Amino acid sequence: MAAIEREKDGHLLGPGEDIKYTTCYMCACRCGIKITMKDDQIRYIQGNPDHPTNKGVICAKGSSGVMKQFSPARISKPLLRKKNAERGEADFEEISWEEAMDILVKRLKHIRETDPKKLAFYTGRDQMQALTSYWAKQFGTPNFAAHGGFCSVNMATGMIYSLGGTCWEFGGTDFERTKYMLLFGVAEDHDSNPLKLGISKLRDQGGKLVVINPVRSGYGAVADEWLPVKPGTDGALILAMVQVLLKNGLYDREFLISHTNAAYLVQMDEGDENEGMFHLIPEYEMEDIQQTVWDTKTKSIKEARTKGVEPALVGTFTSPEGKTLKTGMQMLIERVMEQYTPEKAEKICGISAEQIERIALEIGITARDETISLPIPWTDAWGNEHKTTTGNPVSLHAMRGVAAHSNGFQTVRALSVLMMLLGIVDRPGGFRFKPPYPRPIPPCPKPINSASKIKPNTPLPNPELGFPSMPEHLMVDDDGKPLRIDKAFSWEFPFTAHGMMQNVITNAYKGDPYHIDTLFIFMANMAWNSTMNTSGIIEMLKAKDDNGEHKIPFLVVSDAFFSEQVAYADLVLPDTTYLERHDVISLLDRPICEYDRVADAIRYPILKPKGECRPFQQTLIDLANRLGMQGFCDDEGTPFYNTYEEFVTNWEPAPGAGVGFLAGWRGKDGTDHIVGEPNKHQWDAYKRNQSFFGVELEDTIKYNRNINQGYLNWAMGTKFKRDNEAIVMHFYSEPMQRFRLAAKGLRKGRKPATEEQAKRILTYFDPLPFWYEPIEQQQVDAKKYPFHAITQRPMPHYHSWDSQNAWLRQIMGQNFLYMNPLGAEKAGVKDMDWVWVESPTGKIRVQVKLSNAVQHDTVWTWNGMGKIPGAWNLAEDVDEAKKSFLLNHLITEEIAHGHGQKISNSDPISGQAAWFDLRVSITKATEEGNWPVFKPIKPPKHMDKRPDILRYEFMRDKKK
Amino acid sequence: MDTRLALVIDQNKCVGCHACATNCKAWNTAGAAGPLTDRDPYGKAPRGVWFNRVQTYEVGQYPNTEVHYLPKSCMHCKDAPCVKVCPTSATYKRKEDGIVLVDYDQCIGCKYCSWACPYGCREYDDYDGVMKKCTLCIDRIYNEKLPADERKPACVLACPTKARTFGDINDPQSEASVKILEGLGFKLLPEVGTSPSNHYLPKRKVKIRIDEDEILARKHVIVVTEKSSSYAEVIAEDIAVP
Amino acid sequence: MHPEMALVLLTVFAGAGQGIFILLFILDAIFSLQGIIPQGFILTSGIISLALQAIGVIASTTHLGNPHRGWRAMLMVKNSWLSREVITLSMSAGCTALYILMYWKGMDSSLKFAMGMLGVLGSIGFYISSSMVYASVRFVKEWSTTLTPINFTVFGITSGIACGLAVLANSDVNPDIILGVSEILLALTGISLLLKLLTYRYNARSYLSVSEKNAIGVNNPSIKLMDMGTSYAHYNTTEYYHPYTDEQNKSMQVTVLFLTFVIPATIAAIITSNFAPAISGILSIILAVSMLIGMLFERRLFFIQGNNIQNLYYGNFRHSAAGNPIVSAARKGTPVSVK
Ligand SMILES: Nc1nc2c(c(=O)[nH]1)N[C@H]1C(S)=C(S)[C@@H](COP(=O)(O)OP(=O)(O)OC[C@H]3O[C@@H](n4cnc5c(=O)[nH]c(N)nc54)[C@H](O)[C@@H]3O)O[C@H]1N2
Ligand SMILES: Nc1nc2c(c(=O)[nH]1)N[C@H]1C(S)=C(S)[C@@H](COP(=O)(O)OP(=O)(O)OC[C@H]3O[C@@H](n4cnc5c(=O)[nH]c(N)nc54)[C@H](O)[C@@H]3O)O[C@H]1N2
Ligand code: SF4
Ligand code: SF4
Ligand code: SF4
Ligand code: SF4
Ligand code: SF4
Ligand SMILES: [Mo]
Repeated sequence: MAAIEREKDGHLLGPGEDIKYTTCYMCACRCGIKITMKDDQIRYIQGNPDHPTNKGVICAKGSSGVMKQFSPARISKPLLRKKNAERGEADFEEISWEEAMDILVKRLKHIRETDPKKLAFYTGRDQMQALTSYWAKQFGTPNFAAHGGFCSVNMATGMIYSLGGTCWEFGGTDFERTKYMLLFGVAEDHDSNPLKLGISKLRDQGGKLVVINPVRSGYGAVADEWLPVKPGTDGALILAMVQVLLKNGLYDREFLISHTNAAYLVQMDEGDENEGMFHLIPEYEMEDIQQTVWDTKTKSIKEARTKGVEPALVGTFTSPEGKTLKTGMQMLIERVMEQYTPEKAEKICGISAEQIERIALEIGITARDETISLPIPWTDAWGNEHKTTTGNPVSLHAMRGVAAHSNGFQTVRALSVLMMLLGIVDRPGGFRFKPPYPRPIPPCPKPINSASKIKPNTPLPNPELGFPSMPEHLMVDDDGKPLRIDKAFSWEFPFTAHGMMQNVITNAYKGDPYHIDTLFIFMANMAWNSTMNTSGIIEMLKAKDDNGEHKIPFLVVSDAFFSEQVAYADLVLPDTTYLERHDVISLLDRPICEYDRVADAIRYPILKPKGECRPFQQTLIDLANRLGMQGFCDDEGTPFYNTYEEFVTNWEPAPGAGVGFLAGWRGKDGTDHIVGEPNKHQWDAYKRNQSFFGVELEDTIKYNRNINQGYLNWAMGTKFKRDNEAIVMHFYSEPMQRFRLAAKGLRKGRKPATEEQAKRILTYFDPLPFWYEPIEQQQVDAKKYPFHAITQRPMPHYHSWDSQNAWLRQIMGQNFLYMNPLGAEKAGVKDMDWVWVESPTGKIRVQVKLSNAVQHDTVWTWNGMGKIPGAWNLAEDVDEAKKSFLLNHLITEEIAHGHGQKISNSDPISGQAAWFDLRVSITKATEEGNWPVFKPIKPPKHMDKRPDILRYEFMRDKKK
Repeated sequence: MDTRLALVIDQNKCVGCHACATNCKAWNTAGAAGPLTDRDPYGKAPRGVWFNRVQTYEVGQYPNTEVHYLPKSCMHCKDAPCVKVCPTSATYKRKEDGIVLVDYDQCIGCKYCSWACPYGCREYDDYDGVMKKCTLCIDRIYNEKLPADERKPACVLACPTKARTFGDINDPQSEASVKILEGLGFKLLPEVGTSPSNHYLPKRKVKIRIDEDEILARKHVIVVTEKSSSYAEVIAEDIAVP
Repeated sequence: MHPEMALVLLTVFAGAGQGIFILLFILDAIFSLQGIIPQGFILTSGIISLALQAIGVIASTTHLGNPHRGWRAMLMVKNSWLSREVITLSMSAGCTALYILMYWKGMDSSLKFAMGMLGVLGSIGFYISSSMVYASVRFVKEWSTTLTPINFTVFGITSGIACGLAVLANSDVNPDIILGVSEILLALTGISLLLKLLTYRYNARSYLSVSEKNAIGVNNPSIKLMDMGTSYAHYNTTEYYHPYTDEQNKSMQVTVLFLTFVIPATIAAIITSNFAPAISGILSIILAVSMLIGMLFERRLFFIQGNNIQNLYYGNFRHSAAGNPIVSAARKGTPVSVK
C-alpha cells in the first residue's frame, strides 16, 4: 500500500499558504500536481514528486495551468442560439441553467421515449468514459463514442488483438532495463511525461534510441539515429526487419512457443469452412486450449500446451485425415522471405536496405545476447515452474505515425509480430503491461449486435462499444446495415473498438444510415480541428432541409471555452475546468497504473467554479435523474445519487459487486482495495493521499502476465478478468480469418451484405500482417499531388485548446508548413514564401519554412494552431487567425468505394481516421496571409474582457 | 573555493518541450522576482518577460540533420559584463554563490546591462521599467519553507527529461560538476571571456558494432527445404551454419 | 542595434551644445578683453548650447524605465561609463549655465574662467564617457574601437563649431573671426569625414571572430535557427535588431555623407574663399542645420551598424559588412577579438 504522506509540516508554510495535491488535466496524461495556494488563489503548480505517473516533473502545459483559470476565453453561462442567428455566428442568448435543462430534458425525453438512437452522444479528449458510456447505455442509445476512433484506435486494436493490451495508459517500455528502443511515429504521445522520463533514463543508461519518423523533432532530436521514413510505409519497413530477423535466426523461439500461437497448426486446405482456422483435436469443441502443435519428438500432432510436447515452430505437416497444416510461423516466413526483402522495402519506405538490415541485426542480436535474468520465480498457466524471469532488452513504441493511416492496423500487427519474434512482451527490458491489461484477446465486452436491443425507455443490454471476434458480434441489423450512426462495427469497419467519431457529422447530415435528432458533444472541437474536411463539415452543420430545418436538428455542446465548436452549437453548457471539479481517473477507463502497480486518481475542486460553470458530470447525473433513467433512479424515478461525488462512491456495476469507479479505500472502514463495499469517506481518503491510490503487485506476478498463473488468478480475484485462462498472443489472428471466411461465403452465420464489403474484408482481413499502400493514396494521382502532408503535436499546446493560454500562445502562435529544401526547389518555393497547398478536397494558403529535418517528399505542420477570428476570445487579428492554419481543410473524410459510392477515410479494419494519408501539391502564392478566411465571431457578453496587460502577481507591485 | 551555483543542461536529453520555460514563468511571476509582465496577452503581438527561452536549431544537411534545442537563461557569468556596466549597481553579483541579480528598486531601466550581455539573457520589463532576469530561483534554493529536495530552481524540478541539473560547479563533488566532467560540458561563446557558470552537455551518440561472428552465432536458423517455398527450422548445436 | 531616438538626440545635441560652449568659451577667453566678441553672440550661443544640452538631458531620461530615480545613475562612477556620462553631462550643462549667468551678470572674474574650464572639461569628459558607453560594449565590434571616442569628440566639437559659426555669422562680429572659425570648421569637417571613412573601412574590414558554432556549441558549418523560443518578437529580438534593409542603410549613408560633410564643407569653403556677409549669415545657418540633421542620421546609423553578438542567438547577426558603399569587400580582413 502506498499511502504516501509527504509531511505538510516539512513545508512550514507562509501566511495564507496551503498545499493541495490533485491531478493535472492540461492534457490527458494524468500527472500528479502539487499546488501551492496563497490566499485561496494558485501561487504555483509543480509536479507531484510522489506521483507514480510523472514523479515530480511537469510539462509546459501543466506548468501553465494558472493561465487556464485566468483565460478570458472561459464561458460561464448557458447559451442558447438566438432564433434568427445562423449556426457559426455565435450569436447567443444567455440563459439560466434551469431554462437550459428544461430545453434539453424535453428534447431528450422525447427521443428516449420514441427512438433512443436519435441521440448521438460523442465526447472528445475527456477522461470520463466510464461515466459517459454508462450514461449512454442507460439512455439506450448505441450512438456513443469518445475520441478514440479519430485518435489512435489502430494502436489500441492492433495490439489488443495481438498481444492483449496496448501502450500509453495500458503499457509501455521497461525503461529501467531496456537497451535499445525503436520509436515509430511519436511526437508527443498520451504518455507525455512518462515517455520523457523514460527516454531520459535510456540516455543515462547508454541505451540506443532509433526514431522512425518522416520528421526529426522532439524525441527525434535526442535519437542516435533518425530514419526519415515515407509516411504510410512503416509496415514494409517492419516486415523487412522481420525478414532479416527470420533469415538470421534472430527470434526468441521459446517465447514464441510459450507465449504465442505461432506454433499452432493452421488448416491450409482451401474452400473448406475451416480454411485458415486452427486445427483442433476433434474431441474438444471449446476454444483456446485445444489447438494443436506438431510434436517434434513423436513426430505427430499433439494437443498444444501438453507437458512433454516439443512443438515445431516451423513446418508444413499433414494430419491423419490428410489435411495440410502449417504453423503461423511457417506462413509468416513464406510471406516475408521473398516479398519483404530490405531491398524491396527500400523502394517503398525510402530507408536504405543496408540501414534496415543493420538495425534489424542490432535489435536481433541485442535481444538474443543481452538477455536479462531476474531471480524471480513464477509458474505458467500450464503449471510449468520457472526459476527465473528472463527478458530481452529491446523495446518498441509507436503511436499515431503508424496509427493514423488506413493501413495502420496491419502495420501495428506487424509491429506486434516483431515484438513477439523478439520475445519482448511483458518481460524485463521490453514492453510491459499495466493492469488491468493484459486482457483476453480480444477482450470480452461485445457491442450490442441486433436492432431489437435498442428499445424506447430501456437501457442497452450490452455496451455501445466492444471487441468483436466474429461477424455475429457486429452491430448491424438483419440486412447487414449498420446500427450506429458512425457505422462502427459494421462490415465496413468491423473492429471499431473506439467508435468512429469522425463520421458522425457527415453521416448525420446525409441521414446515412439514418437521421438523428440531437448531437450532444462534450469536450471536442468537431467543428474545427478534430474533423476532416473542416470547411465541408462546417457547411454540413449549417445545412438545412427544404423545410428550413437543420439537417442535424439540435446540437448541444459542453465546453469550458469559447471554442469554434461552441460557435456552431444550439445549446451550450458551460463546464468547469480541471481545478474546479471532481473527476476520477478510473480503472474502468484510463487509470494511472504502472507496470507493477494498480493505481487510480481523482481530482477535486481547488478553486470555486467560475461564474455559473457546472461540472459536466453533475449535468449528466442531473439529466439522468430528470429523465428517470434506470441505473440512476429506482422504478419510481427517485434518484439514487444526487451528486457526481455520491455516484462515484456508491455506484457498482451490479449490486454488491464490490468494484466501482475508484479502487482505493473501499469497504466500510476504508481498508479494502480494488474490491470492497462502497465507502462514504473514499474521496477524503484520496484527498489525504495526494489524490491518488496505488498498490504494488507481488514480484512473481509482475511479468509474463499473459501466461502467468499467479497473475491470472489474481486478476480473476480483482475482477480484472472473468476467468483465469491464459492469454496466448495472437501471432496468427484467427478472429480475422473468421471474417474472411464469412466474406468468402465459407462460413455459416452472418455474411457481408454487399460484394464491395466482401471484397474489402478479403483484401484487408489478413490474419498475418502485410503492407498495402494507404487507401486514399491508391486513389490519388501522386504526380499531381507529389507531397505527403502530415501534422505533429506541439509539446506546448494541447490540440486546439491552449491558444487561450497567455503563456503557451506566446511560445507558439503561428504554424508554418515545414518543407525540405529538396522538395521546395522542385516546387519553386523559397524560405518563408506563402504557398497554396492543394489536395483533391480543397486548398489553403500557408507560409513555408524550409527544414532539413523532414523527409524530402513530405511536408508537415503543427496540429490545431489555426483559429476562427474572435474564437477563444482572442483579438480578431491575431496570428492564430491570420497566419496559422489547419491542415484539416485538405483532408477528406470520405474516399471512393466501389461504384460512385463513398466510404469513410479510415482504416478498413479498425475504423481509425486516416489523417496522415493526405497527399498535396504546392505552388507559390502571390498573396500573403492564410486562406480560407472565416468571418469573425464575437464572444458572448458575459465573458471577461481581454486584458491589455497581464501581471500574475502575488508580490504586490511595489513601485506603481 | 567560493560557491558558484549554476545550471548544467544536457542537450543529449533535451527534447525542447518548453517546460523549463513555462514553469520558470509560473514560479517567478508569482514570486520575489515577479510579476513578469505580459503585454497584449490575447492580441496580435503578445510580448512577455521570460527568464528562460528554448530555441530550436537545425544543424547539418539532410538527411544527416541534427535538431538542437537550446534552453537559455542567464549564465551567471563569473566575469559578468552586465555587472560592470550598470551605472546604479542595481545589477550585482553575489559573492557567496555567484548569482547575478538585479535589485529592482535601484534599477533605472537604462538597459545598458542588456547591451553588454552577449547571450541575450536579460529581459526588460517595460511596465515596471526595470531589467529582469533569471535569479537562479534564489527564492527557492535557500527557502527553508520548502522541503529540502525541492530547494532547486523551478526549471530543474519541472524538466521532464531531467536534462537540467543545478549545483555548485566549484565543488568537484557536486552532481553538476560531475556531469560537466563526465559529459564533456561546454560553455556558450567561451571566446568572449565572460566565463559563464551555466554549462551545456553535448549530444553523445550511442553506436553499436556488430561483428560477423555475432551474426553467425545462431541458436537456430530457418533453412529452405526442397522447393524454395518450403522452410524448416534447424536448432542449436546441429547447425552447420549456412 | 535598434536605433533609439532618445540616445541619438542625447549624444548629438548634447555634443553639439558642448561644442558650442567650447567655442564660445575659447572666443570669450581670447577676444572678450578686446571687446571683439559681441555680448549678443555669447548669450545667444550660450543659450543655444544650454538648450541643446537640455534637449539631450531630457531625451536621455525618456530613455529610462524609471526616470524618477535616474539620479542613481551617478552612483557607479568608479565602474560605469554610463555613470560618468551622466556626471560629465551634468557638469557641462551646469557649468554652461553658470558661465552664461556670470557672463550676463558681468562677473568677469577668474571664477567665471574656472567655471568655463570646468564646462570644457565636462564637455570633453562627456564626449569620452558617452562614447565609451558604446566603445566599451565589447560585443558590438562597430562600437568597441578607439575610433568611437575620437569620432564622438571630433563630431561634437565640429557640430558645435558649426552652430557657433551660424550665430557668429549672424552677429555683428569681425569677419576675420568668422573666416577663421569657418576655416577651422572646414578643417574639422575634413577630419570628421576622414574619421567616418576610416570607421566604415574598419567596419567593413574587420569582423568579430565569433560564430553560431560557438554560440550554440556545435561544430558544423550549417546551422539554422528554426525557432527563437516564442513566436513573437520580444525584448532581446528587438533591442539589438534594426529592421532596415541594406539598401535603406546605404541611402542613409549617402544622406549622412551629404548632410554632414559635403554640404557643410562646401558652404564652409564658400564662406572662406568668398566671404560675403550678406549671404554668409543664411549660408552658415544652412550649414549648421544640415550638419546637425546629418549627425542625427549619422548617429542613428551608428546604432544601426552596431551588430551585437547576441544577435547570433536570434538569427539577426550580420556576418558581413554588406551595405557599406565605401568598402564592399565583405568578410575579408582582420578578425577582432572580443576579449
Ligand atoms: N490534422 C489533424 N487533425 C487531428 C489530429 C492530427 O493529428 N492531425 N489529431 C486528432 C486526434 S488524435 C484527436 S484526439 C483530436 C482531438 O480533438 P478534440 O477532441 O476536438 O480536442 P480539442 O481540440 O482539444 O477540443 C476539445 C474541446 O474541449 C474543450 N475543453 C477543454 N477543457 C474542457 C473541459 O474541462 N470541459 C469541457 N467540457 N470542455 C473542455 C476545448 O475548449 C475544446 O473545444 O484531434 C484530431 N485532429
Ligand atoms: N502536447 C501535446 N500532447 C499531446 C497531445 C497534444 O495535442 N499536445 N495530444 C494527445 C493525443 S489526443 C494524442 S492521440 C497523442 C498523440 O501522440 P503522437 O502519436 O505523438 O501524435 P502526433 O503528434 O500526431 O504524432 C505523429 C508522429 O508521427 C509522425 N508520422 C506521420 N506519419 C508517419 C508515418 O507514416 N510513419 C512514421 N513512422 N511516423 C509518421 C509524425 O511526424 C509525428 O511525429 O498525443 C497526446 N499528447
Ligand atoms: S503531461 Fe499532461 S497531465 Fe502531465 S503535466 Fe503535462 S499537461 Fe499535465
Ligand atoms: S537597466 Fe538597471 S540593471 Fe541594467 S544597467 Fe541600467 S540600472 Fe543597471
Ligand atoms: S549571461 Fe548576461 S546577464 Fe547573465 S551574468 Fe552573463 S552577462 Fe550578465
Ligand atoms: S533558475 Fe529559476 S529563474 Fe532561472 S531559468 Fe530556472 S526557473 Fe527560471
Ligand atoms: S524542460 Fe528540459 S527537456 Fe524541456 S526544453 Fe527544458 S531542458 Fe529541454
Ligand atoms: Mo488523440
